[in-house]
Amino acid sequence: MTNAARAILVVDDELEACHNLADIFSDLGYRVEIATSAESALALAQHAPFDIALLDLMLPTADGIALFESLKTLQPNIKGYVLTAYPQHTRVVSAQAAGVTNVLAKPIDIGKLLVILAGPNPPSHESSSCAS
Amino acid sequence: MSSSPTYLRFLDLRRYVDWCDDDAQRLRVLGDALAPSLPALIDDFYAEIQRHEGTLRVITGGAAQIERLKASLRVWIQELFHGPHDEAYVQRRWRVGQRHVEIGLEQVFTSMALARMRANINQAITGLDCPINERIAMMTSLNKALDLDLALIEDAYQAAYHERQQRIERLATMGHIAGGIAHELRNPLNVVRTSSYYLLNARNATPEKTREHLQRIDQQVGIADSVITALSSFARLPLPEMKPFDVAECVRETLENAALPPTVTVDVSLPADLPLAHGDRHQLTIVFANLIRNAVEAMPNGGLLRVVAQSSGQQHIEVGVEDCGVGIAADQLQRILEPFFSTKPRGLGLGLSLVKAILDRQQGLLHVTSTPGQGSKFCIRLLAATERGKAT
Repeated sequence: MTNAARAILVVDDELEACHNLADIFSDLGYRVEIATSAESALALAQHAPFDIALLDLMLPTADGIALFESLKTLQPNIKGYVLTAYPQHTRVVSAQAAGVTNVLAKPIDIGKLLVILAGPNPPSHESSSCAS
Repeated sequence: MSSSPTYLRFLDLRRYVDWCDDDAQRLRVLGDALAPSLPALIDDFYAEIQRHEGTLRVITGGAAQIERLKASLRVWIQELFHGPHDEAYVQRRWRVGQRHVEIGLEQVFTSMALARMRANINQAITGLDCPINERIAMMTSLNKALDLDLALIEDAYQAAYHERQQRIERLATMGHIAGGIAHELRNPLNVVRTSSYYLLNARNATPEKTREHLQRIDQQVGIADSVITALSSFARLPLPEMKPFDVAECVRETLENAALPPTVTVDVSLPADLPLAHGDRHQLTIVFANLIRNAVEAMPNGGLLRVVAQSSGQQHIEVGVEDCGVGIAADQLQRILEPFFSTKPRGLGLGLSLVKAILDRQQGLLHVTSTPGQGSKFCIRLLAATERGKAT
């Protein structure tokens, strides 16, 4: 299975941060869509499936963890990664309970993010291809 | 040799209770008379201490520590009776109060322990073989000496406690500030780092994309630098250069430079006969820019921004900046002027505290009203230049 089959939703209220992740993951063959608010992210998720959500913690009207919970109700198999410039924020401790796979501190180490995305929680379709 | 402020205060307190040489003499006699009763007094003192959780928990060294404390108390009582009540005596009492803060002993227990000690010594005095008026005089002298000791310990306790609280608050504020700065710097650094990653690793980077990322890095370095600039301008706000200036012109310029989103409609009322204001035009531009930016950010879906200037009597000019945005909750309204307090996901939280600092230095005022869900109004009052303008 190639990256071309995988879709990433990037949500950050800072447009430049969205553009950068979009450029990096598009170059790697992912389908990437960006949103700068929780509302527009949910609107996108209603129309297209995503394998991965990269979510900024501090968004204008909701936080990335609450947004991930909403995304899960629309797309139960989506994997969430929260990115934050404020890793000591009290909300971070609730990320795991909300089903977020990982929390990464900004400035993001993309090399590390790619390793995390590759495993130990590979998407289900990759697991099945490994098992067969 | 000059006396310490603590000793001078002790001398002052001594005058307050009419301490005299007779008191010192009576205490010496009393000390000799009570010498046989001292061990029982000391045992009672520490037996009581061990019955209270609040006192027991600060005694962490067990029986050995109790024995050491008993020996110290014996010396303390000897000094109380026999003196000399000099500067060194005062410093030792002062040190007791400081020590109590260090070990976390509440001051009420010192007051109660001394009350118990006082009651027991007074009881012992009643059993002395001397005339009743002599015994009453001894009790009075003893009470003066104990009250002076207690005052010194309390004074030291309060000073040390206050200092400790300030230290804790300073550390909490520093942590808060450091967190805010870290957040504001990591966001532009994040863009710089991810752009660098793209430039170093992208397989299909076009020349346009490469240029776009280099420009983005440059732009984000500017943002990070502006965070530092905001901090240093807040920390070192220059003294205002007070001159007559045209408020209407200043507001109009600020609105032109504000790059308002098309969803925001502006209603400006700047009367032609508005008098000149007396203030620092440059600093007040920062005030208007902050208030307008806040108003716009309070209306993420757009709305009406009203800016109204008017005379207020002969002496003042008022400028109101009003939005119909999200409003500010009552508990947040009390805190919005605090430095590093923000209701927004981005920003250092310095805008309104800078506004307040600028207005304070120009004898200006800021008044805020807000209704959650309906909007906020920030009204500033500036000095009018009518008289001053003519004078200068």
